[in-house]
Amino acid sequence: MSSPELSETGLDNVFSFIAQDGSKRLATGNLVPGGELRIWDPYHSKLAALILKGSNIPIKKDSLVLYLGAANGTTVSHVSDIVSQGTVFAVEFSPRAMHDLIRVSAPRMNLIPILADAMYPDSYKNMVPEVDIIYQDVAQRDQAGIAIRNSQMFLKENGFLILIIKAMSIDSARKSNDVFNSEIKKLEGVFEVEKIINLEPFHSDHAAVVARKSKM
Amino acid sequence: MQVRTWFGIFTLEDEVIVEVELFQKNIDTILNRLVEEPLILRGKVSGADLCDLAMRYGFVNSKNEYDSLLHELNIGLAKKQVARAVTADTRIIAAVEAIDDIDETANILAERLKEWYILNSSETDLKGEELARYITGLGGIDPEIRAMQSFAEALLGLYNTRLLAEEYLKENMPVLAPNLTSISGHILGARLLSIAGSLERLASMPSSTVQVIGAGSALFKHLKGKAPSPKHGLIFRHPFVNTAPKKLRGKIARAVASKISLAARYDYYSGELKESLKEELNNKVQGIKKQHSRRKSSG
Ligand SMILES: C[S@@+](CC[C@H](N)C(=O)[O-])C[C@H]1O[C@@H](n2cnc3c(N)ncnc32)[C@H](O)[C@@H]1O
Repeated sequence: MSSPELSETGLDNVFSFIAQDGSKRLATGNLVPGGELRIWDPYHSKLAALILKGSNIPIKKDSLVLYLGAANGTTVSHVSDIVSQGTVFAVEFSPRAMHDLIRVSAPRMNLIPILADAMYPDSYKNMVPEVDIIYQDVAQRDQAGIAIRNSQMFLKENGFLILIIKAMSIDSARKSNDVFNSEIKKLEGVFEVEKIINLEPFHSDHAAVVARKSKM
Repeated sequence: MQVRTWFGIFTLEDEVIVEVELFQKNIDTILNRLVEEPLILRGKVSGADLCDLAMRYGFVNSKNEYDSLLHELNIGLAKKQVARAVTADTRIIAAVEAIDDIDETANILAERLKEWYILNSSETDLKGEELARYITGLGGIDPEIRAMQSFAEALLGLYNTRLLAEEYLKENMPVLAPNLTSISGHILGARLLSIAGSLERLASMPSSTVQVIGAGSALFKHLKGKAPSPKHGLIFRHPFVNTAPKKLRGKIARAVASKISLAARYDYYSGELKESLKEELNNKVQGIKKQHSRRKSSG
């Protein structure tokens, strides 16, 4: 198979190409000789979906990123590719998932696995510095609360929050809509919400919120 | 003021470093220290970045070395924590599964012992532990009797092992899963963990599943679509369920299952005892019973 032609995406260490089925796809990694590119599946990663939906995410090659809900490390490994001169602090509280995440982290010097509950940022404040970005995908109640507590402790002024949140599909019940809106309301106290992007068709019922930490 | 970092202790006076005590550059000893206290891994001391300080005071020679040591340390810590987290529930599960095996084996052995004893003597009302104790107390040098006594001693040894394993559960279940233990007791709680496989999995099960786990083949048939859903599995052993009048059993089982499910989630997500859970369940079950008797008297 001939390798497809790569294009720059405007994001550090992220490239795009046209797959055989004609759709646009992403890959992350290093183009220098000996470097390796890894395909980034938008159906398995909400961050890849967010980028493919045309959102210019604020992560740069030297960013410090606090990643909440790292699971087994699928998306985190690509973030680690992107921040080639930065660091990702990956918080996950399931020991089972952490088991895999440790394996992903071992060869990646800029990926720091932390077994902790994101509800209690105090429990890892000795391990995480002030960061440029908080990426949160914990699939749990009180998303906004978790985001706010972590931002107050770790996010620098004007830093960004990218929050993955379970949203409604257009026709679904009113009630989930209310939940979504009230979470956004809560964020508005601490952040300026810049955009809300629906992740269809890659992830049904999910949206990404990009917000900037307001000046105190 | 003292600032304790992962590579040493800094003493500050008026925000200025006046003394530095570097640790030995040995990841294992630092790791052991880190498990005990939250040494600072990232950040600044008196305005200076930790990495710069580590180089300035000669703990490392380069930023590269610093980063790689710190990476190793974080990975080591996560590994330790995972190992500890995993062993807490797997140990409990091992103990309760041992108890179940002992019960099964002891039953078989106790029956065998009784049959053997009756061959030589008349019928007896004694059984199980009592009979075993009685037999070991018999005098005699008859080889058959001695063999029987040794058999009885082995059985008593099993009963004693069961006691020790149960003591272990009694002590450790409230540490691992305080809420589950308060709702279901240490044995039933541990059995639920054993069938679910882990606290994490029990916490992620819907309460309708909790209600039927341990229902064994009845559940299996249901899952294959060959039978209606069994009403209750393991939680039938919960005192609220097995003492309930037959008519209310399903309803009460549902209430118990839903509290167990909630309790497991509290244990998994927060680990702290929520006193109100038990009371809520008591009230709920009282409510079900009251409603029933009211309906009966008015009907
Ligand atoms: C939807 S998955 C994340 C998937 C991941 N971001 C990816 O794209 O590869 C959510 C993860 O968050 C974790 N999680 C949920 N609540 C958490 C909490 N309070 N603290 C830390 N991790 C949490 C779960 O264990 C799960 O692994």
